[in-house]
Amino acid sequence: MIRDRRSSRQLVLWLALALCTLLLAACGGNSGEDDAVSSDDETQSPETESEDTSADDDSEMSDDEPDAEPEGEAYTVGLLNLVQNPTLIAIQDAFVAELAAGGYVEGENLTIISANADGDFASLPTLVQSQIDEGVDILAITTTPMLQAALNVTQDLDDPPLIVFNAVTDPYAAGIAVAPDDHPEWIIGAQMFPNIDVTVNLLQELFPGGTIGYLYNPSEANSVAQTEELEKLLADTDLTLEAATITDSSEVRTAAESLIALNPDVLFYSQDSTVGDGVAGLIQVANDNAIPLISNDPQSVSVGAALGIVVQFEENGRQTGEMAAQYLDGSLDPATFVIPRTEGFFYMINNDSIAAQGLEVPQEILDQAVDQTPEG
Amino acid sequence: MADPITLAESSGVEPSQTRAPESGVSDSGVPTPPASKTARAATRYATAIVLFGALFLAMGGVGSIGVWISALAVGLTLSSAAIGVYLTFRVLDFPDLTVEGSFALGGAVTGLMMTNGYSPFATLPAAFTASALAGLLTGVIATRLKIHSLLASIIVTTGLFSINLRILGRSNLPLLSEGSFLSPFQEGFKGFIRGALGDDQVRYANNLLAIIMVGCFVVVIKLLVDWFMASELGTAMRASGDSPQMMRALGRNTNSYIIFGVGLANGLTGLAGSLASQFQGFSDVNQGLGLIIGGLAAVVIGETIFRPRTLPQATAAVVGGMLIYRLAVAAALTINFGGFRFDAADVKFVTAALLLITLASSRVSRLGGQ
Amino acid sequence: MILKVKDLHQTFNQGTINEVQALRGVSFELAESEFVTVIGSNGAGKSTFFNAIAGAFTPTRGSITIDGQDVTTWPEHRRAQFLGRVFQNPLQGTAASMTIGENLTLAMVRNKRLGLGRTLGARRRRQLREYLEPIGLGLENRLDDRVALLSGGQRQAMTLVMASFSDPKLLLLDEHTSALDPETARQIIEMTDSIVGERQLATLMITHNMQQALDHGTRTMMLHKGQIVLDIGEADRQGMTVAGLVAKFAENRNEELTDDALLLGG
Repeated sequence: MIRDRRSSRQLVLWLALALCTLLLAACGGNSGEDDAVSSDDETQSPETESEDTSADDDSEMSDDEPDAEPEGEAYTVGLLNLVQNPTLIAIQDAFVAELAAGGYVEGENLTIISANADGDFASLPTLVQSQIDEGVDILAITTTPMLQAALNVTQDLDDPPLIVFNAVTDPYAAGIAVAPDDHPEWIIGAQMFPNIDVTVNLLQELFPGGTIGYLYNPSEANSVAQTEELEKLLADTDLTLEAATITDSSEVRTAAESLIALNPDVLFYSQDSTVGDGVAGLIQVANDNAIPLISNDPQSVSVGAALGIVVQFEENGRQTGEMAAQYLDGSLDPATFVIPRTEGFFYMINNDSIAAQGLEVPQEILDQAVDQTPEG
Repeated sequence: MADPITLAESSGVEPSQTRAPESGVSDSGVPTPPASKTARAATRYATAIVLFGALFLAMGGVGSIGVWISALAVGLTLSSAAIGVYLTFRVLDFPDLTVEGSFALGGAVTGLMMTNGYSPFATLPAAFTASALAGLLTGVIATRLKIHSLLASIIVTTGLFSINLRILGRSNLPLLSEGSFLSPFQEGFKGFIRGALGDDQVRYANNLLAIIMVGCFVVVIKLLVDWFMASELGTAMRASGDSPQMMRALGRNTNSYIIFGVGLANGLTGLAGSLASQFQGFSDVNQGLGLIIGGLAAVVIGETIFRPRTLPQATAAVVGGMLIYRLAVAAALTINFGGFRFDAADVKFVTAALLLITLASSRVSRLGGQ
Repeated sequence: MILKVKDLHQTFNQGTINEVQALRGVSFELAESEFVTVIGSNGAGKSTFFNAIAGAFTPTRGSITIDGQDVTTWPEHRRAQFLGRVFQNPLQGTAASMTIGENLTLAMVRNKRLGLGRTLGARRRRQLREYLEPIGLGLENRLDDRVALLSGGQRQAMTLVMASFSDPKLLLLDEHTSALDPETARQIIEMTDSIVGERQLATLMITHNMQQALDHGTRTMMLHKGQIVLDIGEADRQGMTVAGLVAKFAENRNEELTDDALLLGG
């Protein structure tokens, strides 16, 4: 009996050691982001290789300022993101850059704390709370689920930090605000709703009288809002919408195959993150069946969608950075602020996919589109 | 000595090979008329036919071969996981939820390697090894620390989530641009299909190629597993799961065999994770969620419909069960009876209903036989 | 002495409300080729005694020596090299999902390293056939049949064959006929006598049946409340009846035996 106990203890120690070794090995094997090559056009492509504002790094710095700084105050801004992907990182980068342009530079009068949930929804409230505990002046929230968690955590506080949101498709459908001028006092931001109107016009032009094979996840409030907008706008056209729903990224391929059976002229999805996760399956189906894939998702074109009609997401980041800077200046009153929607869109094309999927892209679009075709 | 007890007679269902079958009386005195056996078999096959018939009916409302081909391809990539689940749940009597984590681990290792330039084929042994280690860990925790297998496996699978995240670097990693095990053969095969079946069928080429390649792979894996299970080590492993008391009385440390078996089963699951990630074009930390349901469905359906009696029959049966299950899921997603469509959210309900029907019909047929 | 048990104590759930002193100082010796029957009422400690010898747990106090080796702290599977066991539950001694041949092979290779070779190759089948034919059960003709098809009695017979396969130093039979119907039980007991007699195996047999205890073996030991109360050797057993045994018990213990099953030969 005694012998068993001793050997059990030894075993636990060995196990702990093995676990630590495994963890260390896994840390060492962190591959980082090196998917597609970055293109060198005017507008920054979403697939940038560098990620120095890597969201899972705690870049907290001390509060002592160099005495040379004329501005007395130092501020802390918390960046909170749900997942890591190049588009969201680009948005956050634009936010920070605009803050710097407004006079708030990291390391001088600004401290930035970042956190990334890496898709773990259960940890969202904890991440928000821990940044609040660190005394942030502004919470810069990226993505809707993160925003919902932040709302929940802050709504009972007497003096919540300012929340500025970006990369949120529809804060109204998400229950954050009622209208652009009717929102919780401490929450402002810029809505990033896809340009469904432009998309529908384009679809009408390219596939008159055709059928659209559409995918979305009905359990994402954003997607429901986008789908409703889509259906509303399609009512004035002669296009038919065939929708397939999914609940998990692994279902995308099967759902896409089921849409093929309905003979669509084009496959389409908007800004649905579940479809986005599984877009590889959609792309394979599009390529196999030579049916064009069009989307509003900035991530999709470099991976294999033929054409993207994408919101100027960096502008979205910049707008919110400007709001944050103005707030710190004292020239912005959150309570009366009206939540804008980021205007402006651009086209992304993938020439390989255009060829494989057989899409005829109008010349004007080809001329102005950002080329996302992977090299090699 | 009066009439000695011999083993030439059996009270079992099937007749021995040394005597002609007759409706003998067993030790317990219950007559076993041979007619009931046919009744049982008939009910079983009737169930199978009903299931397949339902599938065909559904197909009537669909008319797209692509869905079925795709479902078969997916089913084949998951088949080695089905064998793994069978190994832990049935052979080792060790309910093991590690498979959800080790499936994703296989995909994560594959993602990491492929984005660093390794060949898709090299990822397979790596995925197997990594996932096998996870299984070994579960086995050790369960047997040495005397923690129930479910708890031990949940502990490991939870820890694996974080590890997988670290390996991938993000929760979802696209892999299309890296290619897959199909890449070297894709163009050639497309040309072959174009020549053999015509231009219009080229759209199925990729899925067909996957079916052929993964199909061969699954056959090889199955044969290896069968061979191992028939070896001395494998036999001892099976006995450790079936009758640990007997094995201890024969001087074997059952813990070691169980640990090894759980490791092997999870290694197989890791292989499935690697194949799945390559085939679907991305690796997601959450891709293991729901795998246990699929695996158990495959085992239940396979056992009920094919009634395997030996281990080689069983491994074939669970592969068949996985294929049937995936076909049924595809059918659910594509049923289109005059506008009525199943939502993706309904698929889980369909899965549950399918399992219920399968299990209930097997009970019913057993009752009917007696 | 094949088996030496010295001052064996075993307490379960020590310090809790369920504390049970199963064995309270048992000292016992078994010589080579001795066949001892062990009796006792429920809760006397018979199974605990066996489990202690087999190694299911390490005793609270005392030592166990088998064939000169102190095995007191050895785990179950390590001690098994000396032991052959047949359990009360006929389903416990054989693996139901595997074939007769596979089960027997596992018994045959019990002390050898296992490899990746085929379990039932031609050579092994021949070896099994040579071993099994004299036993006269017909097992050698059914090597590929699944054990699940066998009845309880047939499985118990198989377990007995497996337990005695390599002539173990000590054979432990834990009420191995009590779950069988009378006719099958009788056959198993006869088989036991025959195997043990032919190979002169040191054997300990627990039985719930006092008559059976007297009819078989060369010595009878009775446990009561965790202690040995009677140990009757060959000479004293001649002509001993159940009634005599009961009287002797009362004499030793100054109390009455009230276990019906034990007395009536359950």
